[in-house]
Amino acid sequence: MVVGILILIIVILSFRLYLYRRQLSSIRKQVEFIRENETNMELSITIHQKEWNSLIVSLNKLLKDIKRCKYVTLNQENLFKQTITSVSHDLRTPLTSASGYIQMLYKGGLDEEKQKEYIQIIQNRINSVTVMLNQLFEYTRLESNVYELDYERIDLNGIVCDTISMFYDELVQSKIEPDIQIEEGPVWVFGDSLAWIRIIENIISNAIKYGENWIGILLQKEDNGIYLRISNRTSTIEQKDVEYIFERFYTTDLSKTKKSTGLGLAIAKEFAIRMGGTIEAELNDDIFAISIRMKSA
Amino acid sequence: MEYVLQTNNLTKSYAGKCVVDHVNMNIKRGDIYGFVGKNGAGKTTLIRMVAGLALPTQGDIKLFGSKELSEQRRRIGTTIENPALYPHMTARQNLEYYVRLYGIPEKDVIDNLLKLVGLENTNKKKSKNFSLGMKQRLAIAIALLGNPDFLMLDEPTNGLDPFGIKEMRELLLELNKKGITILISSHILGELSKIATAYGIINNGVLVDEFNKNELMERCKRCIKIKVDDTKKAIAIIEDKFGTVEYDVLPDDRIRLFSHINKVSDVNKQLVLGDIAVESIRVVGQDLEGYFVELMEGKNND
Repeated sequence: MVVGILILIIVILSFRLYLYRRQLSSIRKQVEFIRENETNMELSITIHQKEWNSLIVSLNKLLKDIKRCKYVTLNQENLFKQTITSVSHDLRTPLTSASGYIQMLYKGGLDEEKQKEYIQIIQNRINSVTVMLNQLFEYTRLESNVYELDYERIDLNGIVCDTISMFYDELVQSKIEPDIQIEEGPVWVFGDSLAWIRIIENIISNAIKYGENWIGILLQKEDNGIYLRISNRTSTIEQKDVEYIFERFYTTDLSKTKKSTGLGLAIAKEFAIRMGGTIEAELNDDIFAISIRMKSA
Repeated sequence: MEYVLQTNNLTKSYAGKCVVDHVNMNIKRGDIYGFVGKNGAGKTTLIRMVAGLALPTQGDIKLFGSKELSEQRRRIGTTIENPALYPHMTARQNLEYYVRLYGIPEKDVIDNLLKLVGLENTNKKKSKNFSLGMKQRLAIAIALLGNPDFLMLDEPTNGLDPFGIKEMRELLLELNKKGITILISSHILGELSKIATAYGIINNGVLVDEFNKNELMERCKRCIKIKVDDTKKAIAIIEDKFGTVEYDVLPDDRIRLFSHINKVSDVNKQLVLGDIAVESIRVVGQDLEGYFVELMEGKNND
């Protein structure tokens, strides 16, 4: 009787042992497969027992961590490649144009007025290259987190006014009548004044570039926060563009020559979020608006 | 570049008629591949052969660069036109069945997947009472069990309303970001062009063309393409005479002018007057939808 029970126990235990060995060799095979192939796969198991289960779950967590690291690197690599392609394309066009005008100046036979005009055009092309490079540099720095912001209590009202006045010439040239509504007294926020200037500059210059004869700038206090809204009339932005507008290198109409790198709004967004604010874009009929909300200080 | 799927002269014929005709398809890792063709063009048959649900009459298939298909097929998740679900089970029970079958140890995997495809609130509803869109989403959840590297979805937007289609697009983009290569077959172009990074066009079983997103945009960009002996000078003339900066210069020195498209002869005239030798000047590009329709009808088969 006792012997019978013992034999039964031995049989059961040997069978278990056999299952365990089979499971071990299956896991080894799976690990090798995952190691040799670039794959999303995780480990699976045939034995339904608590200890085995939790072992495989922990191993899978390890695999998930490795995958996460891999995708971060991969995405950064892709971003880098995309940046290089896009930048070299954007730089080529103004440089070719500038060098065309230089060639015409070399040939001579132009009256003084034409010469001046050409030099002005060359200057403009070189400026636009400089702007693009600066934006690129700024964006890369922001992305890689080396950009330190200096936090202080600042008057946004003053910054908005100063920045608008910097655009005076451009506004007059483009025959744009700005509609400005701001608070009487100072509007205090906590943030980096340079970052705020970049935000407002980037949004306004975008509004001038793509806007048509009207720009609205609104700054007001809300319950314990501030609300800044810069809008312009447009016929080129469509509803489908709105959700991508803050993505880097996004320019609305693919068939048009890019007038910018598509980095301006991406930079504005990075800065706004870094300083703890929210930024959003909306299109109502022909009015495109970007609004920023932030706590007041 | 690593390929997830390559087929070599893949052919399937039923009763002497070629349904899939010597197809050489190449899908790169990381792509969202839009597989476009009319109904009955051979899309489903091809997907079935890749998934191992039908045997090729001729030709072969490489998955992840390997011919060990049974081993590599474990890395594929597939949904075929009419999702095969257990009609008397709920969404959760359907998934539970496969979780056991595949031996997936994580307890939370079902909840996560139901949430991912937006079926977390179906509770006790049996899958036979699901709408077609819900069935599609459940089928995708099943295909995602086991963390596939390659997802083949046959007409995944069939039976979805516009909102569902948008959700599906977002889901696919998210999966793609996690490193899953996706093949989507469809007979509607509009829903694909927003997310696909590569395309294959099939017509009567023949893969008539394969191209990526950039190539498509290049083909469909409407502009005047100009090739001259002196690009820099030509640009200065164009800027000067037409007052436009809507152009760019391609790496091979060709100019693309995006404005004045219906003034080709004027542009040509000014360039020639400016002492520039114009090698070629022509308007290129057409609209996306039209381009696809022509390909699918086999008109652009040159």
